[in-house]
Amino acid sequence: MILAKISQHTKLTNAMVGFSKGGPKWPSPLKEAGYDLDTIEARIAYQGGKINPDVIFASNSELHALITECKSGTLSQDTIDEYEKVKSEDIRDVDVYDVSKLSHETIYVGNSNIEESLPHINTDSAVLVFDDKTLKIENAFQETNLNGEFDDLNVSKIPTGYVPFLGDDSEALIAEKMVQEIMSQSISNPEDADLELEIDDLLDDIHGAWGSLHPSEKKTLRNKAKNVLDMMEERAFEDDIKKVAEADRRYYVSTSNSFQKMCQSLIEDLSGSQQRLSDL
Amino acid sequence: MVRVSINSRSDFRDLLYSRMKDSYESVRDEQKLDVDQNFLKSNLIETNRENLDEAVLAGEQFAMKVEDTENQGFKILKVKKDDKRYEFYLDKMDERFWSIHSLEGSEITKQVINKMVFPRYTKLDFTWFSNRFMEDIWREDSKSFRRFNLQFEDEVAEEEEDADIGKLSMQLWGRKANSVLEALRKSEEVSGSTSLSVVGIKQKYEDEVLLEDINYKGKFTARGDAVESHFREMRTLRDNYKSTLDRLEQENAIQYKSKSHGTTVKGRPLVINFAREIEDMETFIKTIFSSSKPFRLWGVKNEISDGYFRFSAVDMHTGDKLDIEVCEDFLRIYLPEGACGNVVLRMYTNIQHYFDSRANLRGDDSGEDITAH
Repeated sequence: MILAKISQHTKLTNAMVGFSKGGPKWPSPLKEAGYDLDTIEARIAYQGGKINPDVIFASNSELHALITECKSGTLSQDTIDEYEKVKSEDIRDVDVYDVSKLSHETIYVGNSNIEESLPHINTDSAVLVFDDKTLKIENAFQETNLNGEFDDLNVSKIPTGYVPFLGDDSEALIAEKMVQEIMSQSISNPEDADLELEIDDLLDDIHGAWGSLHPSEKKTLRNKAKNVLDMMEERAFEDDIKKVAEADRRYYVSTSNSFQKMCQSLIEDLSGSQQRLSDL
Repeated sequence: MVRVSINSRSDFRDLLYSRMKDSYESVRDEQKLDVDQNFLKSNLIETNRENLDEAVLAGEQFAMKVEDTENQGFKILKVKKDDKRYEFYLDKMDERFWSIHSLEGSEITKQVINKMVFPRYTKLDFTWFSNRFMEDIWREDSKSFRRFNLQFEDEVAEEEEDADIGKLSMQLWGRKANSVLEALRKSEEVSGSTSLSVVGIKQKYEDEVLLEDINYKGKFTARGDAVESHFREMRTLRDNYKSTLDRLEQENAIQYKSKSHGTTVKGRPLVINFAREIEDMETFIKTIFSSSKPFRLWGVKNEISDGYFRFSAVDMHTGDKLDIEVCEDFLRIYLPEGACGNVVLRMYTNIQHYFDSRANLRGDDSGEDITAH
């Protein structure tokens, strides 16, 4: 039974990060072409606006950056027009040996939804279209070294550990990481088993790029994390987790095996409610 | 056993010289040990603690007193169990590895070491020697090879009778033993059950000799009069093991660094490849994530696509988090920055002993097992 589905946005972002990493069981076309990961959850200010691309890659040898936008839905002409306003001078913080010579291009990444939008938009940018096992490229890369690197890649079993979740993800997925953090803190702190679980601290601990997330995305995730904690409290797991002080989020956590079962059942229940919502 | 007063490393080496020599001569001449004679047993322990406090071995059965000696980092552990007293010696080899030596019987030594290591959050762990690591012990000096043991138990088959090979235990001595191992590994039916549990070597230094048995949990059992060779062997394997740990903690650990325009991510996951397909995923998952020994992993699972699972796990030894993805033919591990990498080697080595001895661990594109030296 598939439990909490990982959102397409999170999957695509992880897949792209993985392309720059190397190692077994996941292809590394970007690494092969000399590209390193520069940033995830990036921020670029251009004249007249700001954008938040999901990933930026950069090549020292080519002095070229790939501004990468991952889309779980369709791609609009407005988005393309916005990205086209970015000039290479706007990305001077990218790590290459001579940033004054840096060029860039934007690439779009998605699934069947992005493919469906292609006839309705006007772009020369490369568009990467994932399905369950294969990857298609529409339009050539401007940096010609990249063309050919993406042929015949097996893209099943996407690595999902670089970006654990994003705002689109379900509470179940966030709960998975929250209970892991609670268990980790409880084990590491056996002398003083009361834990203080402040939402922002917790999210900072479980999401490596928390500090870079857009404020609106942080707000969404805070609400989801709060719902998870509320749900844990409501269940009054007397032997597993209980609130020590009513006024704040201080808990006593037992690290017994039953805590593991409780956490698993919480995730399953949250997944069930996500499933029911998507059925509606 | 007659107790000799030990107050320094040098006292301890003198004691070892006489005891190891005696035990070697007894076995060589009479094929048995005298009463009160035991081989030296040294456990190479991975630690994330600064000190061993007495609480580590406290409970209904055990009590322990840690006594200082003239040498900082060399301690005497006075252990009491059921009104009997035993003595162990703790030598801090460096900030990451300790050796705990014993001239006591093997059963009480095993009990004491297990009691120190296995409870949750002891921050102590065995050193876990993979098949490749064990093979390299004798491949580097093939003349020293004496014997090996194989030990495998299929913990993932639902019922014992469902397993192709439920248990395999074998000891082989002699120069051609290696050929037998190679023949077993060529057999389709047996090759996945050939996990090395002990490698025995013999080293000669002029007129001194060392017979050393090294097991996959970092236990060294020694006899002979080449006492220094025993310590040298431990240091060599400690260095090899440490370089593997360093690699996976520095090159593979996932690190997030904040930058002016976003966050960068360094590192990449490690992959354990299986030569045997996981047929019963439920049992595999239960075996690994039950929090119990030897894996000592707590985790919650999520099936993210058909037959592809993700675990948000916690190492019960250290409380460190790690993320794992598993499907029928491989397991991917994300070790966070600052987490103890020994959990990866524990998982890998035990997978070889309880699921598939042909499993290999990769950390990069080189095609080399990360534990090879």
